[in-house]
Amino acid sequence: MPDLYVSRMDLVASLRTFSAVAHERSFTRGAERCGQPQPVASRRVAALERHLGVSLLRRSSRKVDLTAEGERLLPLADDVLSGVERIERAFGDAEGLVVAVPEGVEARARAAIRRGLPGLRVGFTVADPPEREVALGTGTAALALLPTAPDAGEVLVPLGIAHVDRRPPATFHLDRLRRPVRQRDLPARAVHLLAEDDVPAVRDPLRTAAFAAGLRADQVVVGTPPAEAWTRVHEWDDVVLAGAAEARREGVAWSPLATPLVRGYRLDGTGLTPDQHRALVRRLAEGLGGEVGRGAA
Amino acid sequence: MRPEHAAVVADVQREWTATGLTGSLLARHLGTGEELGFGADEPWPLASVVKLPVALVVLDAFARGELDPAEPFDLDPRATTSGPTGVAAFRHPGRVAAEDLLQLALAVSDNAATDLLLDRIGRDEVAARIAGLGFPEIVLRHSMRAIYGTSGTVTAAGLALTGGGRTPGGGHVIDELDPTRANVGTARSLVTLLARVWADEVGAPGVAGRLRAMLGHQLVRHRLAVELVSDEVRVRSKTGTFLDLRHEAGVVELGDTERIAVAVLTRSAVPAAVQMEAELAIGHAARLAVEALRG
Repeated sequence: MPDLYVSRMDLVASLRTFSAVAHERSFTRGAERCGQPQPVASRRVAALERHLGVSLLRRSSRKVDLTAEGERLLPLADDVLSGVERIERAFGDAEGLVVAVPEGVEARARAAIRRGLPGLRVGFTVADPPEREVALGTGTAALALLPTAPDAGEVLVPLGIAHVDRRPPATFHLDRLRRPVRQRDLPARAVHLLAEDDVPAVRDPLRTAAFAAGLRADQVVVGTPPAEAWTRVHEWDDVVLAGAAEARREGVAWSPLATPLVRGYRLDGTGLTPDQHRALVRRLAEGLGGEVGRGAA
Repeated sequence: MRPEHAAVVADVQREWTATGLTGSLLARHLGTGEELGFGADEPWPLASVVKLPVALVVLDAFARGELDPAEPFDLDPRATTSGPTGVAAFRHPGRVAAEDLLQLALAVSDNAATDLLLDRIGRDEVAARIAGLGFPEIVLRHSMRAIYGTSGTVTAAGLALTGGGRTPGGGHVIDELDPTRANVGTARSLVTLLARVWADEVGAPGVAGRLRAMLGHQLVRHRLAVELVSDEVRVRSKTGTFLDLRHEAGVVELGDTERIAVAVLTRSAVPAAVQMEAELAIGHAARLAVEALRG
């Protein structure tokens, strides 16, 4: 049982100092990183060593090395510190306004959002739909763009098929993916749904349309990791359900679906005035290559 | 089953999995008795394949003089069982003889024709006679009325439900898909029935030959027969299709000598009514089985 040389609040501060010194391999630079005078940093690490009853750092004239115990502590300390940071970000307004968004909000739009909300120090966290919901629920994000039925959506991203067909059709009918009877040994071309589209309003109608068009069970693949899905487009002529902007970013052709499908989002969370909310919705819609939906009215 | 046949089974199962199919397959060379397949003793809701044993009972009743093949049946479109083909699709009253109803029941899977004959003999009596002829694994529990005549909406709901409607122990919320409440049979019982029909070893004299002839008018050619039929190869069979079920049982006649009985009973995970990929996967499986067994 370690003696109480440091209180619990000091423990976090001591760990922060230790981590900075250990990463910098220097008391001078570590102290600078923490914004402390060097003697304070030295005292904090010494108190931590007494608290834990082990020596953590080997001090020499030129640089600082970690002892075996120091090596063991460093990753644990960093874990604690990142947890502390999350807690502070979740509850402290001063840390800024975090918006959980899907992959693909263009940099220009992100900049416009920041300029449009001066003083709020807007940050972005990019995550799949379930994680965005968790981020909002736990307070890691103050606002999140969450999937919703298109008719209730504030942001709408029309979906189509991203593909490398040599003669891109004006409209992509899913039965283009049916295997020719005479080439049944070829792998069946699949339509991939990314995690972003693994939501009922998109996934279920797409599956119904695909099977109604005569596709095989293994020709609809849900939740393919994006890199794998886009690789398969070039490797096997597979196709990806995507917005036009995503296809453009990947440098492949895009055709609208015969039966239109739309990603619908609502901007959930608190901390904005109605005007700020409307402006953010408009810029997110632009940044995702979509449009503002009726749900925003 | 020979070791090299295990590879054929593995190929079939791999393609069926990709297609979304699960099922039973049994092929038996009627000359050598050699068999190939899997899941042959699993009980399946038979859908319209049940018309095969029903036909055997009806032909037996004709041969015994219990029912006149020429007996006229009055058709009342308001009362007959609905269905997509045959007299089930008739919109005006008519009159058809018993034997012709049976031919329609086999060739185009006519539901109304089947139910008229079942009602005439009595469903329980037909069920008892199927067992009496030596096929106790084939159980007749309901008429065609129970599974057809449903609206498009019900069919769509049924299709969507087929996967989610299964209950522990192999049951199903839809009676006609539940092996303990539906008309059921196994791939082995169907192949055994076909083997006895082709060996003239079932029913009154002449019955087997008449049934073989009637099975030659099967109109569906895109399932069991799709990769087999030619001027040299005939397939005499009966199909069954209901919601996610796609079945067919028949005999592949290769030239004048070789006869291979094949029963395929499948369920699809794909919620669509028309599934050519599933049909072609069944056809390909039948072709692989026949190629493996033929001399």
